[in-house]
Amino acid sequence: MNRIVVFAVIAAFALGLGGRLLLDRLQPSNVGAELGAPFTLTDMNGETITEAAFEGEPTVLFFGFTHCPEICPTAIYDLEAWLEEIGPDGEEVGAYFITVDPERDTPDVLREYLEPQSERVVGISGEPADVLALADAWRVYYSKQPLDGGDYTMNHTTLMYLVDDSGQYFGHISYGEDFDTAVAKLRTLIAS
Amino acid sequence: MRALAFALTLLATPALSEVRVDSPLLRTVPTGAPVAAGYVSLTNKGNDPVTFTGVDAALAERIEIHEMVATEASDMMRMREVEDGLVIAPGETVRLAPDGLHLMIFAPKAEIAEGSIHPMVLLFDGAEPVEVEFEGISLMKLRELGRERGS
Repeated sequence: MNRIVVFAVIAAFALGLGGRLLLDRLQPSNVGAELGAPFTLTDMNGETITEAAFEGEPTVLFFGFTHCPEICPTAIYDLEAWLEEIGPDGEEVGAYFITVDPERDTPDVLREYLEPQSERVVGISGEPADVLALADAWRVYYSKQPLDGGDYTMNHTTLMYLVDDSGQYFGHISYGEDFDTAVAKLRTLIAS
Repeated sequence: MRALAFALTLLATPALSEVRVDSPLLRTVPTGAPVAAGYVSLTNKGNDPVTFTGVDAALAERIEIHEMVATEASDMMRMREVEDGLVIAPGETVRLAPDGLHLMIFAPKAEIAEGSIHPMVLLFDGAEPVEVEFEGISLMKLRELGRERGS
């Protein structure tokens, strides 16, 4: 009986620690600026894209997927609205939608999904392992959530990353961020 | 906006069921979108609990009740199917609204455009099915409606 109790205590501790580590992993503020990594992937137009795309202009990164009924289209809609508020200065901001579901979100699927929603946002996909390595490099959480009939949806990080013109992490905007706060963060990024 | 809200009230089907249906809305998506989200408010006018179990519609083979939980602390979104349906207590209203409960519509067969009409049948345990016409609405208007209702 005692052994069971000891095991339960150890298990509870391990679970708690695991949860803590997961939480740390999800908070970019805790991990400093060491985000991102070199990559070679495919954009939604079938062109090769590398980390150089995130350099030379302020950039916004969002990790999402097309089978996403609310968060992902809302994020794209909000970004467009914020940049419209900023006006001409906002036009220089690059924006990328990197899939966390590369098995289903091929470059073609991404293009069909994104083009009706935005003239700005460029989709990124490619070899699934390489795409997910990029998500890992940005410490983005993603996991398949099984649905009936072998289908699935994704749980994922909903942060929008702000990247400065040297390709470095600059800050982030949370999902559901207050309009004025989000616009202020983008203005700061553009002015940097 | 008042006029739209009024029009939406008219869209809701009059009572044959114990359940009153208000503001049946679908968020607009282009043709070929993999998924779409639907929203509706359901009020149990009867004396017994009612369970909202699902939807039949020509719009999609498969429509499920899903719940999204956005955890602010970790900036992460989790999604789950509400498999056993939504129980509505007598006199209570359950609202499917943005960033919470919604109808998850898989592979919609038609474009959901601003003002487009999509008939559906809402299914219940403990109440008669209700035929409802859902209307396409943009995110911008959906948010205006939400603010008017103080949510």
